[in-house]
Amino acid sequence: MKNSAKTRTVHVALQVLLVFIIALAGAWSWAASDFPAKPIELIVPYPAGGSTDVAARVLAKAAEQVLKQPIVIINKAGGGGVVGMSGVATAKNDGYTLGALPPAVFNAYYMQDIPFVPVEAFAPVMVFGGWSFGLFVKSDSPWKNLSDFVRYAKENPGNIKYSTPGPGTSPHLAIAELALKADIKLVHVPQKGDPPSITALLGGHIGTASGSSTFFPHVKSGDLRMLATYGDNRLAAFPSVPTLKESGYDISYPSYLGIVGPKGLPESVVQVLNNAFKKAMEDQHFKKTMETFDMPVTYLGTAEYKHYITKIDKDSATLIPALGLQKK
Amino acid sequence: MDFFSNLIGGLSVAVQPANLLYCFVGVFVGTLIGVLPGIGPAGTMAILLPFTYGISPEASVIMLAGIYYGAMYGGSTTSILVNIPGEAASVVTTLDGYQMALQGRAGPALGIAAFGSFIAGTLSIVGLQALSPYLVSVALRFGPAEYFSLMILGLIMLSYLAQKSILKALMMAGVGVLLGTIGQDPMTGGARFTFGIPELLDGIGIVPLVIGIFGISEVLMHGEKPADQRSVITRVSHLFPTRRDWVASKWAIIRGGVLGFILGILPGGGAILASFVSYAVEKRISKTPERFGHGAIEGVAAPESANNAAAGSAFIPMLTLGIPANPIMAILLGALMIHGIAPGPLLMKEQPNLFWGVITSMYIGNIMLLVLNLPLIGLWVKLLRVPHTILFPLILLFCIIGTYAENKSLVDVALMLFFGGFGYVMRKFGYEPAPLVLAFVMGPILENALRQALIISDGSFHIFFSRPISAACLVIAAVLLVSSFIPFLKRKRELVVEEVEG
Repeated sequence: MKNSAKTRTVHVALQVLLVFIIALAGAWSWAASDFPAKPIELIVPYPAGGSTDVAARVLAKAAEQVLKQPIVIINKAGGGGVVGMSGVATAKNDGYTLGALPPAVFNAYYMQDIPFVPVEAFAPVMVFGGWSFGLFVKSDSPWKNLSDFVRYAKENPGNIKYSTPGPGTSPHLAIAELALKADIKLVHVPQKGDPPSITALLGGHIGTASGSSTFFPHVKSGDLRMLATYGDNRLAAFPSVPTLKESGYDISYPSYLGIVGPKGLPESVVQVLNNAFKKAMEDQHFKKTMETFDMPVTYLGTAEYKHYITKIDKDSATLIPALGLQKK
Repeated sequence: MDFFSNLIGGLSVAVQPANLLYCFVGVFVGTLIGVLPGIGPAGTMAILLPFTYGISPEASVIMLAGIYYGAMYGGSTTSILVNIPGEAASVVTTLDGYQMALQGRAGPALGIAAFGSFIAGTLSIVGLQALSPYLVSVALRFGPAEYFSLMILGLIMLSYLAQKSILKALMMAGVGVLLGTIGQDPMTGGARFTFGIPELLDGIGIVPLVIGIFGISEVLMHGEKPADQRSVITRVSHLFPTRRDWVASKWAIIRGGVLGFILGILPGGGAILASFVSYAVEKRISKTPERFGHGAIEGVAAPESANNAAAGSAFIPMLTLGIPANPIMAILLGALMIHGIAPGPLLMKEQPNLFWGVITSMYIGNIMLLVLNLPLIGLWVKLLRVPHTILFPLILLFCIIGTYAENKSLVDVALMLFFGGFGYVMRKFGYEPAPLVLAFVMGPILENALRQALIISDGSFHIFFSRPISAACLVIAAVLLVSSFIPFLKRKRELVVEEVEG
């Protein structure tokens, strides 16, 4: 009697456990196979209309076809990407909130108090492209190439004024590193974004500008000349412009733009997203849009992206204090 | 002849039925969001951007542009009727527009705002079409030194915005400049007064500030009134401007249009700055400056003309150089880029249909706006009969939605509510908000320009006097400053001030 009661209790307990396990497994497999079951939000930490925004939009449009769910672009601009990315960092890590991570956030961490640690806060999904940067002068400038420029700067220290999209941006760090390695003294006139740099350069108010592909239409129209590009390879649109490495300086800024989620994103969700966005990169409209902006299309998988994030965080940690931009 | 061949080429694009439809949708939506306080063109255009995938690049830019200049039309409506600017560029319209409404002249105020917007808007498009290439080269000559001196000239204008006490106006301007320093230091990137809140790194937005100080504080002011006071304004005379109104405003419209056109080309302040400056100019050259602030129709005509002209000329750097003069132009560039068109100096050559089609559609859009807005005046005036126990909660709702929609940020909503309380206290103690807003807009431009200019000149102030445009601005500023003391000597200004205070 006593024995059978005991057995029954065990049975009931086992049954409950079994049901629980089945339910759990069901839920798990549902989560894995049915992700995404509702629209996904992709936070772009820049205002609507910029190259980052448009690239992310076009990619998302193509990925929707694969995921069979809408991807809603949310523009949360501010603080050079910090505001939007803090929204990603604090979101639920279920894969329904993603972000387009700009490398500028890693610099911001060493320059200001920001509410998250960029190198730890995100789960990388994949890289889909990057920016092209370059050093520009007016086309009537006497500097035909980088060595002309460096020679003049050596002979006239502090004479050349240069603009960048702002202190601590990648184009700023790149030219500052160039000045360090070439042992020249340049004077920084920071601007708020590339467009005011372009007008200042076209108007002859500054000698040179370091910036992104926003400058390229003005190079194509013949108003500006590009002295060097900062990536590892020459640009398809300007095959005659050398990289900094080819010009003899060991500097490389392949600035990648990727999709991330909040840290702790389930492996299965990362897989689904990675596949979808990778397929979306084949989209003709996406390719054409990236070509229009002269943004190179580059795929980096989850592991490679993680490696890149660790690397640029290390770079920022050394370069920001070297330039005197660290938070006080 | 080029002018006409371009016009005809553009017309052939603009009158395609689909483009006409999108133009109408744009100006209609623009008018609507212009009327609603808080909901601005930038937020709306960003929301509508994804919907432009499916339509041609011409149609998307025509529609989005219509939203922008349509909002400039609608922005004056709530400024005049309930003392709450629908857009930041209509802040200064509250000064005389609301006074006119209180005097039962809401109709003529709305009418002159619509006609002024139409006339100045159309002139501005003519300028855009005929002068773009020349104006761009002038705009490029504006470096940091020129901006600095222009801003100094603008700050002198502040004194004309003061309606009661000059001292209180200057104090408010000081607060505005201080608020403008919040955010990242433009030269070093260091955070200033952000208290660890990342949303403050880019500074306080103009939308939460204006909506708070004007919108929320106005709602609070009305909360003081007894509930049985049914409506805001009961007395309404005729609906359209009279002959006398036209005589008084015709030159204000032209001057406002020209000033707005010039200031709109320069990146930075644009339409907001243009509206303030044109108001100050009208008050300065008026034979009866004491009427300003008490329902002078020029005080409505000039800024409303100026902000529409500025909305037109802001397209010049965008279309000819691919450089956005303000965030709204940046969204328009985005609409082009989505369609795989790279904006830049080659746009006119590579996409003539788009370039001239968009410009020509703006003529049509302006006519649509006039036709749309004139019959609405009667409707808006009737809106004043809505009991304020219904009207003001609705306004509060739109203020909150609009502020949130701009950046999807709760910090912005909190800021707006804070400035609402601040604005309420300001009003209680007789401090006027307009100088604060102007100083808030100009302060950061001034700081940036000053520091950039001094970096470029290696620390020498000589740069401000050796460059001709900069020197000219400073000379005019000095002349204005001296001349504003002359009425003091003649006791004219003092009398005016006493009259107002007494």
